[in-house]
Amino acid sequence: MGACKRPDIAERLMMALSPSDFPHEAAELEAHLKECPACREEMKALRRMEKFLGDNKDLMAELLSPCPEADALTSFALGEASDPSVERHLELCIDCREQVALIRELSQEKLDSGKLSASAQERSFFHEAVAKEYGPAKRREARAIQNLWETVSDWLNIPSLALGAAVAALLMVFLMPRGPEELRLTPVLSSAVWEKPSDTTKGPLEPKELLTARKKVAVILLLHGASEPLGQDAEQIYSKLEIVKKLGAAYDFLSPKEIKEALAGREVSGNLINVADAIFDRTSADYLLAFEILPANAGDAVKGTLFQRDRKGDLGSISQTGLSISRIPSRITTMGAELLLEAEPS
Amino acid sequence: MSHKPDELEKSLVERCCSGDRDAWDLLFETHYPTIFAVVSWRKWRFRPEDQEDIIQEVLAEVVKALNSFEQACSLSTFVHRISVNTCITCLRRKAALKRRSSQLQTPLDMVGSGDDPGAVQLKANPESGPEELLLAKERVSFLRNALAALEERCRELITLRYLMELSFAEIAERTGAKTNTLVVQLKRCLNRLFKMIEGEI
Repeated sequence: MGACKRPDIAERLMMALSPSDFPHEAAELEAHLKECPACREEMKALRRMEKFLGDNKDLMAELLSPCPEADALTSFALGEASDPSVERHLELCIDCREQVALIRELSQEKLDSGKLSASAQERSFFHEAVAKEYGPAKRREARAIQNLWETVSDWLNIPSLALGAAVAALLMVFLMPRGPEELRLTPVLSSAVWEKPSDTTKGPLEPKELLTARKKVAVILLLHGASEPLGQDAEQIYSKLEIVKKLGAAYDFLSPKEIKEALAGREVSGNLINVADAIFDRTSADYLLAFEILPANAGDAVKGTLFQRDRKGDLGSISQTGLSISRIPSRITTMGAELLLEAEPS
Repeated sequence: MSHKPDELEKSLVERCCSGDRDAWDLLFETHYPTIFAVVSWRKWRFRPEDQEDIIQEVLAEVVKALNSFEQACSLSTFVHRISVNTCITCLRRKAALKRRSSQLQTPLDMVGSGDDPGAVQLKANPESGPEELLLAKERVSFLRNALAALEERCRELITLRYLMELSFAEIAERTGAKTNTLVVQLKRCLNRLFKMIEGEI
């Protein structure tokens, strides 16, 4: 089947699906469709898509416009933030509209506690919660995570040293100037061979090693815009990353084989969460550190993202915390923030 | 309501975060009434036994979040906000449980309808077995990933056109774009989505 000879009409095929919106164009489009097999084929696909979207409207609403986090909804309801995506969501979601109305009504109410003292059970629960969050075990855990973040931020603050000339050269070769919608993420390396810190032949483990022995970190490096994995070159780049060397002293890493298997057959295009999903789904990783090398015109040249496996819920099982090259955000609102906030020095 | 914390509050937070048990007790005594008042607000319609659980959730959240208290608001605003957010989360959980129980009565099954391979839909089928349910779940997950891979603009246009069922003129009014541009953009979006999920629909 040949290509359409009237690309100017082909671009406007959607008009034929909405004749009431475009009554004047309908005749021209119909005439073109009779003569053009390529456009007829494309119309079939567009009709299938429209039908699929119509048949699965509820599911699509859930996927395309999920309920905002409770805090974002509260912010919106109280007029602290105006977010168009929240506004759109409210038009689709009766539950959230009701919640906004409740939040607004509550903010106008003068509440009377009616009960000034807590029960013994509530007190006891509170003390347990404090012990759990601020007790010795938690402080050790927080210190371990803090080590990780300090190492990450050290590295992110000195990108030129960390990446080295090799990466810069590769960026020039592989990053083609494309529109943002065409950017692709290509995992170029999954992991490296590590000397694990818990080597018992060297004597008793240090407390920090004991503490982190069960934490597994996957580290991946991704290039925006590269169409092919970089093979041996990537291995060389990876071995130069200071972050990887430093983390290797405190964390257990997944083997390259494990991560390659997890990523096998996964479409990574433009969606880092896919990678995280695959890695958490098919490996024993607790954290995933993904470094994206972005095009020069994207602002910061390197973006680090920490994903954490969240064992609490069925849905949204991965939390994500973004880092920019120059700073660790001081305020983060996602669930993943907990990890970072715990890690930040008070 | 959103005034900044005074020196006493700052000091209280610092003492709490350093593990001072007396400071935690003081924080509890001071802010427990707020938590109770928000959670027991009649319009949430929580049952008394649920209120007890929710109060415990708020307490746990306050303890957990105090480390991240940024001093941009007073401690009472901070506690009030956590209480409201927790109540919203609990309302959602209740609604989800209700939905889930009705879904269990009519399990989901991905069913193609007859001659048209495009008519894949989530259809209630009481005879669905675990394998079919798993398949449906996997396909939903596939669709979720495909949508996540679309550009934000595409997600917005699909939402406006197919979920909110707006005309192109209405979409143009909302987005400030011309209708001619919108038809071109939406067609590209649908084509992209089609390429990603063609094998699944």
